[in-house]
Amino acid sequence: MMKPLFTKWYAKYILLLACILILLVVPLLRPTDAGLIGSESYLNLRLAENPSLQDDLSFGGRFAAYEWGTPLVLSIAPNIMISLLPLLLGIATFILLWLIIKKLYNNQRTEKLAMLLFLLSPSFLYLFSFGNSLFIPTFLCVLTFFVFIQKKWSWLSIPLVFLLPFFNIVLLAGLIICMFFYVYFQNKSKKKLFLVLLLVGLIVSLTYYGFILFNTGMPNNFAVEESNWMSFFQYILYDFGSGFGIGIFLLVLTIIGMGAKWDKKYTNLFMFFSVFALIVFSFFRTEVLIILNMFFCVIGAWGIESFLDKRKSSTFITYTLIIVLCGLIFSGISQLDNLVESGPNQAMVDAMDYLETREQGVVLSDYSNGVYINYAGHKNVIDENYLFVGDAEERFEDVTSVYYYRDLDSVEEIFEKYDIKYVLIDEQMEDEIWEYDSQGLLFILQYTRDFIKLYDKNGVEVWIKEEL
Amino acid sequence: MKIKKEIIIILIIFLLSFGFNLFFSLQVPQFSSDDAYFNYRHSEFIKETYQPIVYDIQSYGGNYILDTHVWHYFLGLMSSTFGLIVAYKIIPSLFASLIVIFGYLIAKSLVKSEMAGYFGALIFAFVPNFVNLTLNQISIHVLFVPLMLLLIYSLLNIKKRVGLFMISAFLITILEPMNFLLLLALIIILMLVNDMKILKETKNATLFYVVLVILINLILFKTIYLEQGLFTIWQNIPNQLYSDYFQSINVAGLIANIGIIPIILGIAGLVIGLLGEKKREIYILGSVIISCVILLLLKLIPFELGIMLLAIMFLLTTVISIDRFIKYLKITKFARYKTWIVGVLMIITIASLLIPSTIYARETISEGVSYGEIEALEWIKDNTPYDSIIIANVYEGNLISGVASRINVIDTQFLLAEDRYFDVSNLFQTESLVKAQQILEEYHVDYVYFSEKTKDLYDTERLRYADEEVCFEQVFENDEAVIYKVVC
Repeated sequence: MMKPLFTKWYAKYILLLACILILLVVPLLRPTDAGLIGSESYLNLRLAENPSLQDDLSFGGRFAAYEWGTPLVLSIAPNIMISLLPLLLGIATFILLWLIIKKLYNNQRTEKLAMLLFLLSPSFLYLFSFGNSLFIPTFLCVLTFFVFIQKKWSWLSIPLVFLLPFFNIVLLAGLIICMFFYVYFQNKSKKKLFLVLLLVGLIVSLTYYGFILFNTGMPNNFAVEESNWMSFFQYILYDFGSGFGIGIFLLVLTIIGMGAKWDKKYTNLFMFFSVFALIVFSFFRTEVLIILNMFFCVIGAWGIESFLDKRKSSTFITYTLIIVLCGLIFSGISQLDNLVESGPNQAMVDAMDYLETREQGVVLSDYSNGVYINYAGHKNVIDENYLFVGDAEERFEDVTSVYYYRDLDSVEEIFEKYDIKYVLIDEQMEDEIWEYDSQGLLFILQYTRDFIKLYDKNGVEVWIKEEL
Repeated sequence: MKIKKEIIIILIIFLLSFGFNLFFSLQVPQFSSDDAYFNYRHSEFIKETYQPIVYDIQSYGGNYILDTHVWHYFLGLMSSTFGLIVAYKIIPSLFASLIVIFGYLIAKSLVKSEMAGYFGALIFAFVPNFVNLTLNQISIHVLFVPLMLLLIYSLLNIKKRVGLFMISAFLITILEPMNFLLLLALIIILMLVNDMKILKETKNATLFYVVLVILINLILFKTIYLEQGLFTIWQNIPNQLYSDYFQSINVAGLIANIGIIPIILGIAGLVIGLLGEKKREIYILGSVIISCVILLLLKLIPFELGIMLLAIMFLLTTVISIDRFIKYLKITKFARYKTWIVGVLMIITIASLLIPSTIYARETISEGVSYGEIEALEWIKDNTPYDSIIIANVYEGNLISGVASRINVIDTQFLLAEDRYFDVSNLFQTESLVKAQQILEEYHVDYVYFSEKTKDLYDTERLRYADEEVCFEQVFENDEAVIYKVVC
């Protein structure tokens, strides 16, 4: 009898090769002059090039209340590391997760199907295709769990947990939850080590964030984007707009997998409780979806297995499985396509190059352009990293107001308050902020003598406020 | 011999329905709705270029059309093969009449009685709402509704009709990917039906349908789902449109829309089925009715379509009432008058459907899109620059693009369009020249198309600000429409 493809000896090498090739897609297909992907890469690169406790550029200058782990690792050789490290850690994470599943379930079919699902998951493709802030902490989480479940060397998880708060405290919390359920349901002998890890994680987190809070005060709780209950789906499901959310077809497989294993739920309590806790946690912090995605891949593999086992009993099952597989591939390709096409666009990259040639000053623009303005060496009024900025809300309100003022004195007042020298306007701002060409600030820029247009290329304009 | 008789009777009823549709459709050369011209324009474009209009420069002055275009390709092919009349008048009428056959099949499965089956076929020949929504309108619903009935028919015995279910599910999904009625109905069936053998296969069928709908939706509307998330399923229809619809709906309105006899007999059939025999078939129909009501309440289905589907479902359950009545009659003293009583009942029921259907058909033909409107639109086509922008009410946007071949400000392709409904309504209702000028300037409008329908829609007699002759020059007038040129 022929063995199924996923049990053949070379299947694991094919999967590993596929992993490498898939992670190379975005770096290879993205045009070389299109710059890095997303604002996080630019922030990490800037911080890596100039690590300091004071960020002179963000919000016109403020305490550098960031998660410094990633920029410090990248600072060894920023430009090389930001391109190379995601790929290397992606492969390492893939292998480590495989070993974890092998250790926990020891079933070749489950292992390989789970890894196939992981490989196609939008979350994995997002994390390890560019230099975002989550790829190193994700790797560290997987490494920590891998070390933790080993018989020997499990104490090595202590220094890893010590490091994790500097990278991402939410992922550390997610990891601790998983470790707790692992210890409680699977391996009670690790109880002491778990308590040590909990203590280390807690002390380091409190110290690190205590230091940040000491310097910045309590984080503000305003949000620049409104949300409602429907937005929840946009936060957790990739196909509805979440950057690293769960693919909808993986979710379907997970539901099927859970149903298939429900009869044996008492032998899978670690899995079920971890998933339940992580789902609840993801209502509050979406970073947890990264860990949840890994669990879903395993449960999704059970879903495929149940399909394969039952496929002879109904014609529907075979066709459903084919559609689900097409959907998984579609979600993966869609994520790769999004990353290849993602911002900043060429117009913004050119504008950044131009701004670099200008004398330093404060630039007024939308908060989503703030990080790019900083990377070009200028101060911004607002950017997207506003959590530990005391006057963020006031700045946001001032900026929103100034967009609609047609009165020069009111504009002058805000410009003086923040010492604004330049105004950067891109097509997205023109579409989303103003309804017509001569509304608010656009009118002031065009029809008063106080502003001179310095740059106008591919929809991006840079204006300078002339000193009278 | 028996089969032959059955076929002949159904064929006669089918031809009756087909004849009824054709009789009214062929009375006028034009089509009877704004949406008809959307389908007509897209099909004719495909006929000429073999490609669909993806970015429509005449809709909203430039708008991406998110449509599978399956219906347009089919019509385009028919048009190039058999000509315009066959493609846009005869074939839609033929498809619309198919509900007779599928209605008969379902009715027969429901009550296992030939007589009740014929009765089912006969009432399906004249469904007032269906006539109102599809007659002479090249509507996609002439195919969607029969396919939906076919899918329900296959569900009634899913084990034997797997292939039929798959094909109809696939066709329905590619025709109308964002119609979630059957999706919800299948999920409700799973909750209601507890026959284990059937449940297993229904479960598999539901899962197949769920993943198929998700995949096709994601492939076609990926960008919009990524941008708008789950809000996409509301299809960006302006809120005011829904509030307009729902303002007028109440129990009396529902009865007027669906018909008193279908409602009474339909509900009675549903109750008889649910309380008495607890048949799986009743649960299936009940699930479709429940999902229809839920979608209407959540505004996830166009109002008129939802009401029409509700009416069709009630007509199906009406058959159960009739069948039960006939059976009951047999055990009473009136058994000897059975034929007469059933005959009278049939005549009353059919009359209660045929009369409103005929009224709807006459209204659709005479008031749908009139000759006067076509004349005004053709005047625009012949006398205005090709790149002129014409403002009309939301239900005339496709006429502007389809008949006048000019750019509209708003039409019913809301999915990726900006919300202009409020501005356009404001333009036709305001008395302020300044406000009107702001709106006209914002959308760079060259001509205002002010029709009798716009007057009815906005309850206004004239554009008061157009009295200011310096800014508006009346360039055309007939009984149905006035056209103003914006000159300042």
